[in-house]
Amino acid sequence: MRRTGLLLATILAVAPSAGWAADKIKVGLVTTYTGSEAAYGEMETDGFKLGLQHLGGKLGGLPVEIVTGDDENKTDVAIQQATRMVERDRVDVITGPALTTTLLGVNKITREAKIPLISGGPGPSVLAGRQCDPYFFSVGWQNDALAEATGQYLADRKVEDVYLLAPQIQAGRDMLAGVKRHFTGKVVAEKYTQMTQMDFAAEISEIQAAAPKALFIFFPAGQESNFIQQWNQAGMKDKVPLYTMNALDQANLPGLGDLALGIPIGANWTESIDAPINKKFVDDFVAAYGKIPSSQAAAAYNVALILDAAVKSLGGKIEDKDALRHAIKTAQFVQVTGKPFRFGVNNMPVEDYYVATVAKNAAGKPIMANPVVVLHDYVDVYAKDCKMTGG
Amino acid sequence: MLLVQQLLNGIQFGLMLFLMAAGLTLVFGIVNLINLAHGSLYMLGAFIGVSVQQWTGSYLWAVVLAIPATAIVGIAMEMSTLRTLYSRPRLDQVLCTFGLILFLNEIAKIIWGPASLRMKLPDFLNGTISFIPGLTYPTFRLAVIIAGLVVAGLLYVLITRTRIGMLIRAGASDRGMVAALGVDIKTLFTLVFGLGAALAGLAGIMAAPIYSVQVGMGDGIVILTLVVIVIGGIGSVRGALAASLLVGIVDTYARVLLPASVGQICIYVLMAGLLFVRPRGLLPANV
Amino acid sequence: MSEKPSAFLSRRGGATTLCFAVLALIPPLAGWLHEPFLIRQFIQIMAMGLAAMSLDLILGYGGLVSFGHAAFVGLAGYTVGILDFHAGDGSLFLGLIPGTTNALIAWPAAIAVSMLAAALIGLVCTQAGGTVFFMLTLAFAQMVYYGFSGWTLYGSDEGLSMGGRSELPLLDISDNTNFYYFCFAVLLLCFLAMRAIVGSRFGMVLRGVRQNERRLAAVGVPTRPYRLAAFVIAGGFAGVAGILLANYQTFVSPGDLSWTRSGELISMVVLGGLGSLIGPVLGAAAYLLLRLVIGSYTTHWAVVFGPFLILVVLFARAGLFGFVVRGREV
Repeated sequence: MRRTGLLLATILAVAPSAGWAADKIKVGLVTTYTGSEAAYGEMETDGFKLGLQHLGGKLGGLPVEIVTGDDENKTDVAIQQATRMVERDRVDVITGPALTTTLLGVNKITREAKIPLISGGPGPSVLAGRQCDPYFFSVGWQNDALAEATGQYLADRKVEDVYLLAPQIQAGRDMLAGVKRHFTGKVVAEKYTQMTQMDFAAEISEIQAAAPKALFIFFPAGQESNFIQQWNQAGMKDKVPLYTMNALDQANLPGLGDLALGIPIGANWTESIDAPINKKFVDDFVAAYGKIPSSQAAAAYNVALILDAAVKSLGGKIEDKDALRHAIKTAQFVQVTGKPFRFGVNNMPVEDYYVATVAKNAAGKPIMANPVVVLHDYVDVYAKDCKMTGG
Repeated sequence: MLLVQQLLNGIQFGLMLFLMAAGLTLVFGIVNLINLAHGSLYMLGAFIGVSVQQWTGSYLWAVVLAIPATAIVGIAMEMSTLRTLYSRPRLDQVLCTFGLILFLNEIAKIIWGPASLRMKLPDFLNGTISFIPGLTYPTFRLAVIIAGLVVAGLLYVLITRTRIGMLIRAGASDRGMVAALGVDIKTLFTLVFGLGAALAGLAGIMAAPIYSVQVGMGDGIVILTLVVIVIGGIGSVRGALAASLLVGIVDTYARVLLPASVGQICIYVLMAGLLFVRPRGLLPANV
Repeated sequence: MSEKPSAFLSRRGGATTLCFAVLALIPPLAGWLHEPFLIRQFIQIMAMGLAAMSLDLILGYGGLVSFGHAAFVGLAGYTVGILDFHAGDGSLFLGLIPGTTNALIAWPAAIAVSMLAAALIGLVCTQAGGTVFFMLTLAFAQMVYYGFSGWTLYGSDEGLSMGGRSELPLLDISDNTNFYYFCFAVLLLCFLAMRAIVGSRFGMVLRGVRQNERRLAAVGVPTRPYRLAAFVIAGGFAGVAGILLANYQTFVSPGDLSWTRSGELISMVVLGGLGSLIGPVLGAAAYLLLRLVIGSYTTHWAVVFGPFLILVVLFARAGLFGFVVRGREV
């Protein structure tokens, strides 16, 4: 072991100074391929692969090897997969975890191993503030900000009161904190469900009795679509308006059909943002995979773009982890929304947050339509607490 | 109104559990087999139903075809593996059926993929029904309640009024005796198992439009079902009915009145307490 | 139980020695192969193996089919995790007890928690036998499971991340190789302790309980205290395994004490060989390595493992250990 350690240390010390470019970049993709949230894994893989394809199959000139691992939407499995990738496959960078739960598990490993982790979506509050991590990046969103956009939207419309419902997980707490941050009306109730709950009959009956002016929900895509289906079965669609964030997107909209029409969604990206790069991304995605991309797919596309820019700026010399991290932080590229990408001090994106509404597109499919910018170039509220060392 | 609605929610969940519990308790009581893979039959029922619906476009066809299909899978399971377990110690039964769960989950993943699937409802089941002003209830959940009650009634008639039912009761108390009467006890047990599988399939197809259909969906419910049949008294269909309703209602009320997951604990506290004072369950069989 | 010929005993001892010798050689092998991952994998095998070994004490020797053994493993893990959590932010557990990362305090506390829980649960469960015992252990394990999955302060369903491994004087177990040999020593000591227990008068009675409870009762041996004591002792050793597992992952989650984990532990015991103590370690190795090896070819490893488990149960009751020593214990 000590011999291996020494050997490894020697390689690490020698390689960058020798200045050889690596022969390839190994990307670990830990995401969910099994269970109710399996749509995330598929969307992310497709989004990343399309990004690669648009970049000519290479990242910054280096050939790419992708190692995938299924986290089964369980934190302990995500930790095992990340450990395997770091110790056995020796990946250069990890991306993926579509859910905050699994992302935090993977972060535990990458933080210690000092391997860059680029989130394919979530930006948990716990990584945005005091415990920010120089090796963690989100090119998707900061969790709270999505719900803050919806909360601002509710406040702008002077909605008097709102009922809040989310699962008892970090992302759930982030989202409900986010809605409340800019919302000026009354919070009727703030309820948390179990993480794997699939039947919401009891909760829906409670909401029906409370008769709020609005309901805000957040669930991971599979559960969210279960909830909306049961909400409709209970005839609540016309009684209490439903608001949410991008947990309702192309990962679950196709299965819901018309049931989700009219629901406002807080988002950092939508398929209907009018920018040439986005149009190309969406059209090619539809052509290649026969479905419209989701928020996770768009974020995974960003992951390919940022890695390309970072590796290019290093001239392919990616062995020095600290240099790679620095290159990712300072990478210059135009993200999928059509605007130049920028990180805040906490490595969360500083970007516009929209509220879009579900409507039918020309082909009659439900999409996140008419995005309106609610928060401009938004810096999340946790950034001020982040004192990153070695920035 | 809220209380009534939650009561209906509890009854609906309870009757769904009853569909599972009835089959499991019959098998447990009669052939003395603890079948953890009963939940896999529930999962297969749902998956087969989704496939039939994708193929025919009709939920009713899915119901009609998925039930016998699940029964056939169940019978195949009984004849290939479970039959050899009847005389084995409890540990062997637990392990073999645990192995079956792993196997069937993975088979389902190969056939239907890892992602969850959705079952669509026909319009006439997709709305709500209003009994009295102010009280509305989803039509489909009401349909589940009705199906559960119908099954309970049919099972009652089957067990107390028919020759097969008589043999089932007799087989449970004295296997040798029934065999001596010239009845093929093996076939009888296989039939009972098929019946249990059909009911699990029905439960699966009733659950499919409410929950999403996915690999492993039976793992959680089989434990709750075991709880139900133990509370009700092993082998007792009446007990299973009473216990399912009890568990369904307690679970629903606990979920809304107490913080998340304390509700789940309630059910197990209920079970442990009950077993402590009445080890043979609420309404033991053959009394 | 008739005494076995000495040739068999020596073969048995030889196989056991061989197992420990192989385990001792894993780190140099990993270094030679440049596969540090191997060390981590075998730490997991030893920790899970110890958990399975402790289950064998009641399952193989006492004939008590417990379906909640993972709860005792997880409880100890959570104790270590929770004390670490409070040490991290200086707060108090339930407003009373300060946290610590010191192994000399946290670990005995963890074992005590597991044994206490086993005593309370065992007091109720050993009242009954057979199916009711099985269902009661399941019920209590589920209570513990849902308890932690709802305890928001400690991460609920998402689990609780530890700041690092516990701190031992003189030995830095944050190094994987050190931790490996530490786990190895713990496994060996626990094995020797359990073997001594099995060989004592207490162990004889325990085996008697499994074989013929009524006869024992007839000759005036009250069996319940023995079953209860065995349950508590097994809970304590399960706690030791839980401490190792928590330190291995530096993470605890409700998944560690779920009923499927209990099912896995039973599988390991039977796969390795009931009533052989070292067999369950082999079972754990087989289970985890099969999953790793088959898993690297196909994600559908359970298609192979499920039927394999059924075949072992139906046709090879002596398990892997029985196969190794070519004798039949049961």
